[in-house]
Amino acid sequence: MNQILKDRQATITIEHNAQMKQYDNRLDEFQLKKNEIERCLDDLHGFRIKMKAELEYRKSELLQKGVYEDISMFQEIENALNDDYQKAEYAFMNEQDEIDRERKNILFEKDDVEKEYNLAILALKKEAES
Amino acid sequence: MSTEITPGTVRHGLTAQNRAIGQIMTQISSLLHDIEAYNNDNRLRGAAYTSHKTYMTQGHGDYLGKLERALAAKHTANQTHINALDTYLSTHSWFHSGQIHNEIDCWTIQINLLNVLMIASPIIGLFMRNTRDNLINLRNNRRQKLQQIENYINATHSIYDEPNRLVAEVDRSLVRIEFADRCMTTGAVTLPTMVRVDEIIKKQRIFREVMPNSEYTWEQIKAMSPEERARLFESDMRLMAAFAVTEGLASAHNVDSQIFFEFHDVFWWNDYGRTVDGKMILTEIDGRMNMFLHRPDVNGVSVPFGFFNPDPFQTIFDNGWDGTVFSFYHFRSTDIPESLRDRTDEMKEIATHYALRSNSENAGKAILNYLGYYESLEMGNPKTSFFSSELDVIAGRWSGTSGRKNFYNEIEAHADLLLDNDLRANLSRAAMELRGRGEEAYFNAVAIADMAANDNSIDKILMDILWYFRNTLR
Repeated sequence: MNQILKDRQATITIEHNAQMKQYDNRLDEFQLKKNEIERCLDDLHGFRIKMKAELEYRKSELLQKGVYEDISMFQEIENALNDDYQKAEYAFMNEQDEIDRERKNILFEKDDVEKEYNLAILALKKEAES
Repeated sequence: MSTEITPGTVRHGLTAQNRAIGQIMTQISSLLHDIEAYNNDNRLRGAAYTSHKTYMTQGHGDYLGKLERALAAKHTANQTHINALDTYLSTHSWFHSGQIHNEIDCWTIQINLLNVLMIASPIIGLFMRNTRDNLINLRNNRRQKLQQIENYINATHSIYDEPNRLVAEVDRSLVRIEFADRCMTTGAVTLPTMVRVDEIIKKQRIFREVMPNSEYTWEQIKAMSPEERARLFESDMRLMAAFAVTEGLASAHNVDSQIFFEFHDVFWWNDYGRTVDGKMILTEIDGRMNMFLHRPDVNGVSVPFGFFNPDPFQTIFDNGWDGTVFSFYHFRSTDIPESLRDRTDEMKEIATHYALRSNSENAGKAILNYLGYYESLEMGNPKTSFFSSELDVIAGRWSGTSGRKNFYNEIEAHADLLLDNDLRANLSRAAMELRGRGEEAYFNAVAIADMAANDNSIDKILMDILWYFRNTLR
């Protein structure tokens, strides 16, 4: 392979590597986003469990003392908590799906670029042989 | 197991108390009637009867009359309290303020946690608002309930002012009977004047303040024979100090939550050849009474590792300390008097106590705190707590040493040298040679840790050299 072809191959490889790096960075970003969502979901889940336990305890305390007037207020908080939590969980899951979709697109794109690169290298090798 | 106080139990308790008050008042009125009948009985005549009738009227009659008035007031107050409770309960639920405070704290934690989560994530922020607003409403509801309880308590807390005032009168009347003077030959009883009664009540109060958990009362100790009292005081020095405060012989100073008992009389003692004077201070550290002698005239303090003779605490209650020069003895003294001869182990134990670093440090710190307090008091601006850097300066002013640690060290070193164990024996011998005096004189010098800013005697310089070497060789 003469020097001109070698230089072309090196240029194509450098450009290709830089492109691949960009794809990898974007994929990493998606992963970080996913992790962040997982963490938020865990936090929210932990909060919900603790809140429910606290409400149960306070409710039983009131029932034990025969104070019934606040029970409905506690029930309202529990309903709001369940409702809000479900909506938040749904929103998080939607966001996760969205990320997954975008991630998949990037992977396809990356795959195409990889194929194009291989073809270009192959073409260069053939040119050198002839 | 603790019983929870509920409005039901309070109401029940108040009703039961009023029933009991009713019964007692019937008995009181019968007793008052008896006293009146006794007074009016003309068959019982003569000087002794007249005197006794006066005593019964002015003493017991007065007491019962006041008790009757106090109980009637208590009965009315209880009923007012019951009515107030009923009115409150007809419109509000009963909560304990402690429970409400606990709930408010709990919901505040949850609200704060949720706020943090909402800031951290836009999705949580978007969807959890309803829960947070409900929680804020719940917390507001609890705050309102707390306010209602506080309003109720404020409205009812003065109900018992009048009965309490009358009960104080009953107490005065009772003290008057308890401290009546009975003549054994004539049987005549003389009641103390109300001025005297107030003095007694004041002493009882002072004693209770200084010794809140004492199993003895001031009047019990007052009624003891000198021997009984001496035995009691020997087993409990704090009781002795509290009694001295009550009798006006000492003052109690609270410095950084530690009580210092300062005896008012000047304490003179003979420290093997030199007569020194100062103020005796006692303070309790870890359940043990520590003594030190405060000598403001030379900016000094002394911590003795032994006993004084005669016993200062018997002497002060007998005649005071004026005119007495006490002799000091330690466990190595060769001239221990008969009365102290079987107490050498106790004397040695004092030195052993201070030879332990933590003990000399605690005692030293307490002394420096007291000295700082004393200085600030002298300057008209009493201060009761000090930073470590301040204690360093105080130590310098009162002992000439640099810093608090050297001050503590000096106390410990004295005790170590008196005990004369391990390498310090060599130093002792060196000291004796340097001084050209005997072993006895040396131990006499170390048995009281004398620390004074202006003390530049050869003894002090020698001691400085000794504990310098002692620390270096450690």
